[in-house]
Amino acid sequence: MDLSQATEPAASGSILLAALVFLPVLGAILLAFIPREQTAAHRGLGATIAVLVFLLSIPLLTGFDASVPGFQPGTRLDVSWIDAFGARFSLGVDGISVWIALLTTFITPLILIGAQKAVEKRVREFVIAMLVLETAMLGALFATDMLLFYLFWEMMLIPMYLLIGIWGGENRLYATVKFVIYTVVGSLLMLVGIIWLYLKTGETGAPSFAFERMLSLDLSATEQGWLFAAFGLAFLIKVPLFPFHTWLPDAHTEAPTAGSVILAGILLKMGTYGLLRFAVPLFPEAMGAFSPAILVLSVIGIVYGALVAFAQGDVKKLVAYSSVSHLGFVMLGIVAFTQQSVEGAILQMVNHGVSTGALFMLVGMVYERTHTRKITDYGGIAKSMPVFTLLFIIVTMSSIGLPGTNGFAGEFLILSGAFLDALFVPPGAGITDWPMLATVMTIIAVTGVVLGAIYMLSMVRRVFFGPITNPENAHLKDLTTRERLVMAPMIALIFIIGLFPTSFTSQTTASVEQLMTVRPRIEVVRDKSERQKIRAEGARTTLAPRVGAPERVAGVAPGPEEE
Amino acid sequence: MQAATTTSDLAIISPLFIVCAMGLVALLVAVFTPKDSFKGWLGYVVAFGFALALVAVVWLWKQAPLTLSNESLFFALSVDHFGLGLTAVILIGGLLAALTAVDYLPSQRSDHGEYYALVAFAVLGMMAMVMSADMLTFFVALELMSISVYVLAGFKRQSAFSTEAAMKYFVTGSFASALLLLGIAFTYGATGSIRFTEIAEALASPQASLPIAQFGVVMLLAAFFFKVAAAPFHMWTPDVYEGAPTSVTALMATGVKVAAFGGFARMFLTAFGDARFRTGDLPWETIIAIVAVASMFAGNLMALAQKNLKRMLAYSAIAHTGYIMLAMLAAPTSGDGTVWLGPGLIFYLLGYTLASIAAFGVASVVSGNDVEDVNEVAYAGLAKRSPAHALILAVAMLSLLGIPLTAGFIGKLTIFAEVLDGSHNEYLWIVVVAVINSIISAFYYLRVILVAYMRDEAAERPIQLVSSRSLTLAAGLAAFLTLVVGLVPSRALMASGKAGGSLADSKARAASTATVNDVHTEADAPATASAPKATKL
Repeated sequence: MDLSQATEPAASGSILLAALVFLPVLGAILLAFIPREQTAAHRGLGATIAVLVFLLSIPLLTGFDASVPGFQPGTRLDVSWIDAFGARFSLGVDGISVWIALLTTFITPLILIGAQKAVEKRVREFVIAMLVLETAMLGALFATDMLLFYLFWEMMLIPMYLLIGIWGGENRLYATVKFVIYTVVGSLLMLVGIIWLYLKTGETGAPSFAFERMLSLDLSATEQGWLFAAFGLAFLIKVPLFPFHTWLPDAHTEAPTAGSVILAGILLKMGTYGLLRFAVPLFPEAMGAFSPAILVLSVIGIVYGALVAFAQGDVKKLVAYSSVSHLGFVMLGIVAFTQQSVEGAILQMVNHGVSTGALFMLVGMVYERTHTRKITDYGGIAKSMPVFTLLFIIVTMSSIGLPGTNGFAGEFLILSGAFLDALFVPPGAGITDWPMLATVMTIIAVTGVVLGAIYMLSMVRRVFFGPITNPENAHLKDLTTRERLVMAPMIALIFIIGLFPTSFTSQTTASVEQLMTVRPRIEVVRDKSERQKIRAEGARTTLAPRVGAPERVAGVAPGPEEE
Repeated sequence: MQAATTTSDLAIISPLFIVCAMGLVALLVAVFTPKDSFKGWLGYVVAFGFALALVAVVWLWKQAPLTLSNESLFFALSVDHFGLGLTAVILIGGLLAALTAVDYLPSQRSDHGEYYALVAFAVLGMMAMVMSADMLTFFVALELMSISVYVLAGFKRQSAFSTEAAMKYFVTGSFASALLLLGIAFTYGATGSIRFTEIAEALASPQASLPIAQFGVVMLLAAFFFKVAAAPFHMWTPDVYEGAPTSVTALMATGVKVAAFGGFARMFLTAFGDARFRTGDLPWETIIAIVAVASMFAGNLMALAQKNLKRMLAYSAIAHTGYIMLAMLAAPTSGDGTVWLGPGLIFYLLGYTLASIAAFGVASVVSGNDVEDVNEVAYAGLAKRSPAHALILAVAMLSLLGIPLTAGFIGKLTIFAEVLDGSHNEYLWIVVVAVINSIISAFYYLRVILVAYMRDEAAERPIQLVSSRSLTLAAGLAAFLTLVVGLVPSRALMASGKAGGSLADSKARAASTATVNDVHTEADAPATASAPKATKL
């Protein structure tokens, strides 16, 4: 009988991941028992727990075997959970998730320490929400069981809802409802997809939510299309890809600093992570079919985000739209799907988390002093806040991708990887043909880098330099020691990643190589000209797997038109 | 099955007996207590009775299926896992609902002892309903439940609101009862029997008069839709839910719904369960599918516009009726026409019961000191005044919405998976409709949390809270169990699966006792041992 198989107590693996996932939520429960008046205790304990989680997460890296593709066997955990469903509590970490997980444990304590002043009311609830959020994010990153993943995925929603709704700005209720509705729409449809896959696994043995089982499913093209749509919608809303992005500026603007940092730093990465981890390997052919659309939308996002950011008069909104633009680059890296571009995309996820997180933190720090976010209210504050200005400019440079900073490494890998994928364009290829489309789009994406420099530098000029127009800004206090301490690790990380990017990408290489095994299946659908060629030869199976190398020989492609 | 006969009849019906006795005790004591004294302790007595009955149910669960040796009892009640499982859910709901009333009724100036007697009798009716094996027991049980609840709905005598609710419920409810009787009569006319199993046999024979049976089934369906508040038979629900005292609404939302779903599910699946009838000659399954979709949309769209918490929960109850009905579509059938249920229906009812008690519990708390209109102002900023109650309310809303970590999520997941699996994806569209409806429902469920946590009107009009330990305990326990069942659902799922699967035994049960008709005995007995419970969920 099915149930008996599922109930076999095959508990295995290390407790480390489970400890990382549960420590924050246990801390949150502990905090619930401390009277709400003792705000100092809540703050201190919350920060301590978050720091502990960070320290505990360091073994993830030190024990990481970069040569192992897939989940690290040393930290794999698999214990029984809901036997009736065949859902198991199974966690794992691999090259795709390890850096984002570390980013999570790295940023959360910084927020809890940094946001001490910004959050005055209901401190206990705030700290609890942050810790629960950390549990949910780590859980979603580590889960290798689809039901468990979905559970943590939805669990992220509630603390964020409260973070924006309780501690947000004036228009917070609108922003928070919009955020939730967008997210729920995506994730519930994903649930149907998960159930579908679950029932599919039942055709070959006991039904199971295990990701590995779902990977081995044989899905028809139609099925893949719909399932990809269901999964993709959830992830692309979270990213957010261009037409689904409208919740982001509202959420960012209204969220408190802590909310903005966590949103930009980690939550958005969940979308791109989910795409890489689940949607692409599960439905490669559908990914191929959707690739042109996603590519075009990503590039629209890059350019549109940059242009709209340029037009913003609100610093926070500007940074929010820059996120849309930056995430467009990550999406470009994923959709190009070469070894280099995907490694770049993963690195860029971390980069964006660090630099945009730092930007939001800095914006929050100056907001606490001036209580305005309008660019026109500033001007010349470099004179009164020299240290702040220096840090802000460093982060800006990272954000626009100056060589030597982390942003450069990520964007370079993505763009060069995307060109590798696109080139060479066979003669006679039309614009709807993949190589041509990819080339054109990547060229347009490169202009996004330039646009990024324009809007960021112009904002820096207007905020920091020139004469002090607003007399209140003449006597602003520079950063306190605590604020400097919060910023120091982020600034350090910007340079460390920027100067030694390979020590970061080397952890991801093996896992990405494993991911690349589905590339031929994507190509078959995506590269239309090649598809026609293959069809003509009637030898679909002989297609040799290629890993991102530009072997495509020119001159074989017929016209782009469908037969 | 032979081993089970050692338990005496009295022991087998002990849950019913205990609840009945407690009701009578409450009634007698109420007569002899001074008019103005506090009657709340009777609530504890009745709750204790429910707990005792629950223990008896658990004891019987281990020995089920049980066979009553008295012949008339045997044909009237089937004490199988299905009946016992649903009885347990009803008793949990009844117990918690009784506790919510203890301090709430005095705050509404309606503290009368008969209340608890009526609650006990209503619960007795519900229990008998989910165990009933023939049409007449079913009808009597349903009437016992309904009439008690009619009275309870109008229990706040000085309130025109409450009286109107009772009147509305009574008039429409009587109409539904009449339809039910008509349905029973026609079914009897077509098949010559009132017993579920015999009806199934008679309908299987070629001489059965199908048109008459069809008419009967439609009547039965109408009564069913009315009792579970399915659109378009839902018009009474918002007014009655809103007007009735909140502790009564809690009982209506949980016990009445569980009993109606359990009783009618048994009736339809046992008597009309053959796949030929479900989608063919007596297409009740198709009708239920349509009504489920209508209920989901009617409930969710109307709930969007509600500012009153009780009224919103009424519309949400209509929507949930739609979700639960999906579980009836997924009933698996074996080759010989034996039908059973997966764990979805019973598990969902459990999750829904817990979440509803928690929600109505908080609604009682904030309607303190005779407030009737539980609108947004009543609980705006509740998180500041009373974080515990706000948390309970939030958990209830998240469970009703179906967010993971709550019982509501596992319930929805189970039902969706069952429907897709059981119908071989034929009903994929209805699952998509249900998901779309879940998305719609996010608006109003999350709005409750938003109002409770993020709005601050309370500063201008402070909330009057009913300060009550029992009420907080009941709601808190319900919320806690919602989370527990949501986190570690295995046991509850297994039990629900066992309960649903036991429906398949009813056919064999009939065959095994009809010793005169020796033909069936040997043919069917082995089939039942292996037929059910091979479900994936």
